[in-house]
Amino acid sequence: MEPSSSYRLDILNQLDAREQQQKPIQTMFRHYATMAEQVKRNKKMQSVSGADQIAALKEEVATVYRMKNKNDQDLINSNRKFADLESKYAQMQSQKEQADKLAEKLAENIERLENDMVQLKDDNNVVTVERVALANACQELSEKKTQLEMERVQLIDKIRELQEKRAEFMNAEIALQEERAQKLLMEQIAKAAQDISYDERASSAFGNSPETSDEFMMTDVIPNTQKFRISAHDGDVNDIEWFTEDTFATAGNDNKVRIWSLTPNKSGATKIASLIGSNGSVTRLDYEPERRVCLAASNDKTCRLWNVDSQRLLATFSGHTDKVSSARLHQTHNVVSGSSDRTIKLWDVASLRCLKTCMVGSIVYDIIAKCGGCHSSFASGHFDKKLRFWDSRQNDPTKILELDQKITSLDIAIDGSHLLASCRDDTLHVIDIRTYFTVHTYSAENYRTACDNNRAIFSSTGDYIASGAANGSIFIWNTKTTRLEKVLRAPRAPDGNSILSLSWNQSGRGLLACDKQKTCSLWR
Amino acid sequence: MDYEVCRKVWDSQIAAQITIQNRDEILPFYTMLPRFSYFSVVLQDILQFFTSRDNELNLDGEKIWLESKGVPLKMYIPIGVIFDLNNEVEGDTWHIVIKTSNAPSGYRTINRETMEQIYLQNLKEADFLKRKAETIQNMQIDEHRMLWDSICNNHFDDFWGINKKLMDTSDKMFDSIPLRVYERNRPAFKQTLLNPRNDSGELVTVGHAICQLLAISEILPTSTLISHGIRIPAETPLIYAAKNLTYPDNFVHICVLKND
Repeated sequence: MEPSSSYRLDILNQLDAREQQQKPIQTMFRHYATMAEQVKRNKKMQSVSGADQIAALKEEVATVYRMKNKNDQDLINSNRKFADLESKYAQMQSQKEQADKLAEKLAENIERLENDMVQLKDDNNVVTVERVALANACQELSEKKTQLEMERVQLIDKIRELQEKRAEFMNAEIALQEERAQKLLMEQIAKAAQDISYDERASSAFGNSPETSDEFMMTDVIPNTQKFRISAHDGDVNDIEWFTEDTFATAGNDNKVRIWSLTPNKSGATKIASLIGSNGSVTRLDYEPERRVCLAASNDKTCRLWNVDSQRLLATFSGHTDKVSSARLHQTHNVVSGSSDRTIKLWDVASLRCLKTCMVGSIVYDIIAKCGGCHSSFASGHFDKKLRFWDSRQNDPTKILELDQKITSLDIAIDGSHLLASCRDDTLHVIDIRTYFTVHTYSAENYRTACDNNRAIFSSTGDYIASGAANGSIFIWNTKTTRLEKVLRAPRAPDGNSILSLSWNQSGRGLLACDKQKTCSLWR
Repeated sequence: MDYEVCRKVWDSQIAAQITIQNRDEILPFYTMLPRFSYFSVVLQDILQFFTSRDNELNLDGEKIWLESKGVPLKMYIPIGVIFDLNNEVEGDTWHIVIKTSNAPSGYRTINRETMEQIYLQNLKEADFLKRKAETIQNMQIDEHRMLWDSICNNHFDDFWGINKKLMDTSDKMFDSIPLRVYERNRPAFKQTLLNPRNDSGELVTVGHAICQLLAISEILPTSTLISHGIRIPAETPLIYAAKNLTYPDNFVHICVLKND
């Protein structure tokens, strides 16, 4: 409600008047406030701006410092790099100098090498020319060579032809001889058929030799004279053995066993055959008359068995590790052999196998196989002065006898009860096998045992013993009287011609001796 | 509500010049103080102004006191009332000094929160006088706060939006009118129950009410009734004054000044 009373008007007028009055002051105060505000703002801005500026400047300073740091760091790095590069550059310089020097040297080398090359080319030319000349010469020579070869071929053909012819001749001769032998045989058979008064014992002797039949006796005859002396081998003749009354064999250092036949007048011997196959010198021979085989012990560590008639090598017994000094046929199908390897081996002929090996422990010098009453016994003589008696069924010796010196050879008398042992102390011992007693010891003044393999023998009846000496003579003692009966000395025999082995003919007449001088001789 | 009058009353201001005791180098602060507000409310802004001017100035809001022409100024009375009471001439700028020395005994420095409580207390008292405090008790706390905030921040529309309820007489007339009369050189105000209508049903006038209050027969022409810096005609109906010439605490503060 708005009364239009006077009091209201009065109030309103007063209020209006007052308002008008205050207006200028109000305006002034408003401006004052604005100004104050402006001043305040300016101050703030100034301070703010001042602070801002300071902050900004501080930041700038900080950034400037940072940049300065970075620049310093960069500078240091750059300096270091620069130093490195300088040093590298210096290095490069020195390397370059070196390289230059090297280049100089190389240039010199090249010059030199070029000169050399020129020279070499010249030399090469010269050499080529020479070569051409030589090639021509060579060609000529090769032509000559072909010519000569053709000639050689021609000559060889001729030789072959001639050899064939020779072989034909030989065959023809052999055939003739065989014919002759056959003829003889036929005549003998005819004669024998006529003459029936032959002694049994004589016929059991080897072969039939009509020439010696009237001279046959069973007593030993001491030989007096040397009938002949032949050169048997190319080396020492180690052993000699009668095969039959007329044939004998020699074993030599030339690896051969030669079979000889006496000439009818007993004044010489002709070689019938050679048994070859051994690779070392043959030391001992043994002969089996029933089967006509010859056993030889050899230095090639083997024993070999030949068939005498066909001269074929039947068997080789190898197994010893050292030279075989002696081998004997034993019990009809065995072979017993003794060797320097200190063993005695028992072999089977049929299978060629070693049946037994006895380690004896001492070098075996000789073996004898038909000793004693027992067929299976044998004896061996050794380096260790011992004489060992064996039974082939046992491994150990049945009896050992010790003598004074090493035993070079053994021989057994035909009665089988006496054993002859030849010792290196220049003595011969006769030992009774049954009692193992030494019956007698034989020696002589000039008698020296020829060598380690010297073989002393009984005579065919056992009445005498004979041994070859170092000086080339043969000493013969009488066993009954134990006296030296005879000393056989060859005329014109050189001293030092040691007799290596002897063999007394089964008929009692004829003593074969072989010696170091490659000869063998017959005494009758 | 008489909008024009209410509006002009609200917009009334006093030109003030504020200085600080013993600090003449600091330029004084010139400002227009709203009549309806309290010193407790504006003091903060004044101090802020000074400190922004000079950062080292340390004015403790609790320790200072205000004085003008040697007279301490009460902080819990509306500014307009104090000015009317102490100053004769309307047009002058009011010189206020902020005193940092010890306040005289009995002086109370009121801070803003306490002022709010005092204001609300006055408001409740006024409404009690008017209608036995029915309206204010029905109002919510938010509305109380809004009243105070609009005083602090000079929001006329917000204030009168709520104050309207307190001024509503459409239902029935106020029981009694809240009126305080100040006399110069008298420390306190005078207040009594005043009916808006007299026995004969006529509206009581302001002059009449004051006569009744001061126990004087009539208003002498030498006395002036000042409120809001203007002379209030004595024949203004009391109810009119109660509705339109009140301060925000719903009291009519009138100063009786003798023209000597």
